[in-house]
Amino acid sequence: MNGATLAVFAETLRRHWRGMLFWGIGIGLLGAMQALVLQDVDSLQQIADLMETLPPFFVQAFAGGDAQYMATAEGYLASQFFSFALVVFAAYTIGVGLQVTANEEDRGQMDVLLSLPVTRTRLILEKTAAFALLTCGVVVLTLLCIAGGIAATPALPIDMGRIAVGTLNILPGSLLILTLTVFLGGLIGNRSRVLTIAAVVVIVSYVIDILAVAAPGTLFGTLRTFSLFRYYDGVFVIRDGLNLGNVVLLLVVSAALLGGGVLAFNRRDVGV
Amino acid sequence: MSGTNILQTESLSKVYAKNVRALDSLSLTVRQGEVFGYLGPNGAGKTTTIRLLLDLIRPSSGTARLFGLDARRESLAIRGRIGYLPAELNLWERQTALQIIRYVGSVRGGVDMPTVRALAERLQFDLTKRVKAYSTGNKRKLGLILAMMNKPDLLILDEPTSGLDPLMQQIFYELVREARAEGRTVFLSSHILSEVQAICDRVAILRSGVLQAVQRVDELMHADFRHVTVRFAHADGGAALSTLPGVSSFRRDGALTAFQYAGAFDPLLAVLAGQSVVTMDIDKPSLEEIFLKFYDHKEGDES
Repeated sequence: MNGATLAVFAETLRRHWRGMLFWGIGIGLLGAMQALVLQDVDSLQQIADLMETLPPFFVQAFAGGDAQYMATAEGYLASQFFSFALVVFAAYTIGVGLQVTANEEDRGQMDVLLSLPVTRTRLILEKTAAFALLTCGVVVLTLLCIAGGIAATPALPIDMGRIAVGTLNILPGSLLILTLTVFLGGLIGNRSRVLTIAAVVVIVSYVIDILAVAAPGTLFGTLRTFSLFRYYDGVFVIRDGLNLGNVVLLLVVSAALLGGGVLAFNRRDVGV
Repeated sequence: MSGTNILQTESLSKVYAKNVRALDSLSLTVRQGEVFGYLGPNGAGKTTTIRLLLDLIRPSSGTARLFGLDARRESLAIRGRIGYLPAELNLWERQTALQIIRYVGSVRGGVDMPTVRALAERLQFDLTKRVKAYSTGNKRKLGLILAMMNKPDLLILDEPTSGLDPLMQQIFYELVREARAEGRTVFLSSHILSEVQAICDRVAILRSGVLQAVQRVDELMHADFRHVTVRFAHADGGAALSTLPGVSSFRRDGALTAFQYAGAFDPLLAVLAGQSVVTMDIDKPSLEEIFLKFYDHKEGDES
């Protein structure tokens, strides 16, 4: 007797949809607040003028070297929310990535699951698919909340289409962080180590990206190639549109990490 | 008992990191319809064996077959026919028992709710609470329901009565006997010998990862020795017994003499024939005593 199709997927959704609401609304309100604090175009121009008085390092790091872009509502939201939104999403995706195998293995619950007629591959794929779907839900809720914030500030001319692209652009990077955590869980198993490594990768990647943007001619400029945030590019994707090459690359790496996680988990002892 | 081998291991070994040998060349056969006790002190390798059978860990060498299928390559088909209760049952604390039962059932392909409710009734278990609200004993009951609810062909139970009160232990014994009566097989790990004595057909004794013996419980009960207590008419009545071959743990307290006796009774009766015996009691040892004696002999041989 083989197990029912998608039983693990359905159970994962059932257990975690409330978390999706919490995170989606929470992150969305963070973005909406940025829209709400802006009352008119004059205040944006004041911020842009202030930026131009700062040392070039800061202008590079926080406005991508384009202070006038900051004078637009989209540019302001990009630098004040979308530039770091992926880090906030990482807190969610690392958390749910741990739920795929690491948490249950650490707590001894994996013995119960793997004594059932379900393969390790199916377990990881169904859970990851469920969490990927929930991550989509968090992105959509975030967009809805930001849209609500923008609707509450009618004095500002904001292109909602660009904001929608900027929000959807969070998804590929989030999936990569999710699958990175799944990969580490499949490979290592120890929850604390998985959490530490995943968090360090995200933070280091973020810091390298900031430093590389501020000082492109340095070692950080070279290292930026390996930074996830280089391909996320949360600030300028709103101005320039979605970079399909980056999106495809992030999704391909995500798929590779997921495949690696499945292979690693299949090859090792569980719960030792 | 049909005699079909349900479980068979050949030189099954497991060596963990740092060269810790948890199981060493285990060769074992369990037949269909048998209640097989797997005994040994903590750390003997019982749980390691079970985790190898379930493909949770992989053997360093040797093979295991269940239902004639390879435990490593055909694990999925095997697990569809197994009910498993781990020694340390860790479930999802925020879920209710019913939610967990439905989840486990759905992965198995369906839940037989009448069976679940019947088991819950016999074990006096409330299905509606969250796991974190259950006592240790109640968590164990939930584990038994999860293992038994699909009426699997093979029950693998690791320390099943740990945390159960004596009344529930008796109900568990009934459930095991019923499973055996239906032709299903039970592989039961335990260090509680009275439990094994109560329900098992055969036992394997494991120590430090090495199989020490496999024997029918009823044979084991007759195999080794008897407790003999003799009250003589005179205080010096039992002195001659202390040197009799087969006598051990010899104690005298006035006219009362107590000892353990192994072997044929003719020589003992011959010695007693010349004495004035007032009363004599001969008691069977418990399996635990046989077990300890077994280890004593082994350790004596090794030293």
